[in-house]
Amino acid sequence: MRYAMAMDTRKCVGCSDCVVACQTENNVPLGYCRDWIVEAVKGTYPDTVQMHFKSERCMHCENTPCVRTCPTGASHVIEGGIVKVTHDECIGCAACIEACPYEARYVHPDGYVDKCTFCDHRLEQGLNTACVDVCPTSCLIFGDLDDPKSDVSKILKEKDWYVLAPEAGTNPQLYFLK
Amino acid sequence: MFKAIENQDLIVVVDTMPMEMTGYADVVLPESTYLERHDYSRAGKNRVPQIAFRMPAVEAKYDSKPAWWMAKELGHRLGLEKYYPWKDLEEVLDWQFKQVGSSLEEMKKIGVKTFPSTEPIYLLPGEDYEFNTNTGKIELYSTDFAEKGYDAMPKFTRHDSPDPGFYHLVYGRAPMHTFGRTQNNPYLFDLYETNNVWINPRTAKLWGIENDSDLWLKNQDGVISEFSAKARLTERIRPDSIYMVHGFGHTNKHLSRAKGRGINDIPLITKIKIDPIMGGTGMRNNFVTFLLEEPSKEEIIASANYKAEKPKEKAASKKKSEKKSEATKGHKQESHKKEEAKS
Repeated sequence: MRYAMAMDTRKCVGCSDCVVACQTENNVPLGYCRDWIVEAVKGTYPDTVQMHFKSERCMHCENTPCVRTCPTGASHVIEGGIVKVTHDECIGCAACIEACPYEARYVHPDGYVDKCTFCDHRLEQGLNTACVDVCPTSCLIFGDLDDPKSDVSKILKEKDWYVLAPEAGTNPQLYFLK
Repeated sequence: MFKAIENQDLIVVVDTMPMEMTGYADVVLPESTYLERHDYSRAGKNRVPQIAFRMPAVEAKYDSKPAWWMAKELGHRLGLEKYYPWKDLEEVLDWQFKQVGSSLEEMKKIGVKTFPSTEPIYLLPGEDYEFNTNTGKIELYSTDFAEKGYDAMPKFTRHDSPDPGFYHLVYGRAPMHTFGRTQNNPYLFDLYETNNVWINPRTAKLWGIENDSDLWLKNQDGVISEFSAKARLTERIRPDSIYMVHGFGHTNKHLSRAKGRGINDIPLITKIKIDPIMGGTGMRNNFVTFLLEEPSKEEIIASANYKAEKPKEKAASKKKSEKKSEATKGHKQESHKKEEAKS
């Protein structure tokens, strides 16, 4: 099993529903977030000004610098390739935050490092991640890459995509559709 | 406007949030929000005719009540009981649903019920159809307008241009907020706590304005914005215009988070154009210039007859908002900055 997410940058309207859904589902304290919206603008007025939104979160990389740098083993990979942090093993040293090319982690006010879990507690119940469930434009597609019939496998086959910071060699599992 | 309000004998306000208007009210009837109350069903006669049931998702907080409850209770107190022969809205909805072959019980389970279309929704090729016009046809040249002495064909009329140093004031909405009513919601405030003044980088350069510079706006009639907002330099706005999200800059101290955040565009809209034919109002024909130094309170109040605050209240609310702004500095704000750097 290899969980992955595709994000359609052409459909996203930047409403941030995914951010609030995650905050409420995962009790993320106000002022912090596990997923966030990036607005990218290209060009200068009046030439072709282009804009798109990206909904970003932990990329659940195949090659995980965060797990390698963790001195206590709190950062680890579970079934399906989900990168997780065991809160009571984390000493809050933030080495993983330095190692992550995507700024996907933050120090929780309670002293541990926190991040996206692909809502593994929901996946266990056969549900989708909270962000996917609330997205009003259905621009987030989640599933198992090992299953060729999954929505995410199909869409990545059909459409052009890119990943962020490929030069970091992390093989991230959040794919952005062009 | 303030004069008109103060001349009223009685002002009753029904609202879900403490807005500016509630401050002027003699009586405030706090209404439950849409997630806390039953509402009349939504009925749509679209391609697929349907009715949708609206029920509370959570219990109503505080002493708020749904509008139907207020109407019924007022009716009873005015001796109009016979017009309210029902216990609550559920009883009304049950009766209404039964008229179309459903029931409250069924709608509670299914939420939305669809019905087959009883009349065709499309015209077929070659079908004879008379539109509601003088000729019965789609009129590009409106004979109705011509009869009444208006231009039968729309003509382009050039809009006014701003004086040097002034810019078109354009306003719109942000996807995370629904009018003013969500601006005090902790989560949505956390996402978008104030509006920014969007300025094209070329315009900003002329003024020496940088990203996050504090600025006040003054319109063509001398009206100054009550609060400041931060500049946001972006190519998404033309150099001759500025853009703001509408509905910020609240003054009601009970809006504990939203008060004093951002610029309210409404006082800056002093020129309103009215369409001579259908009466529509055009409000995007005002011009503003930037004030980079904080204007004095007296100057601001004099510019637009803003209501001067009582000094006591002001001190108390200021403290609160200062505390809040410290607490909201976090991961997300940094990410948002990152976004600007990339763009």
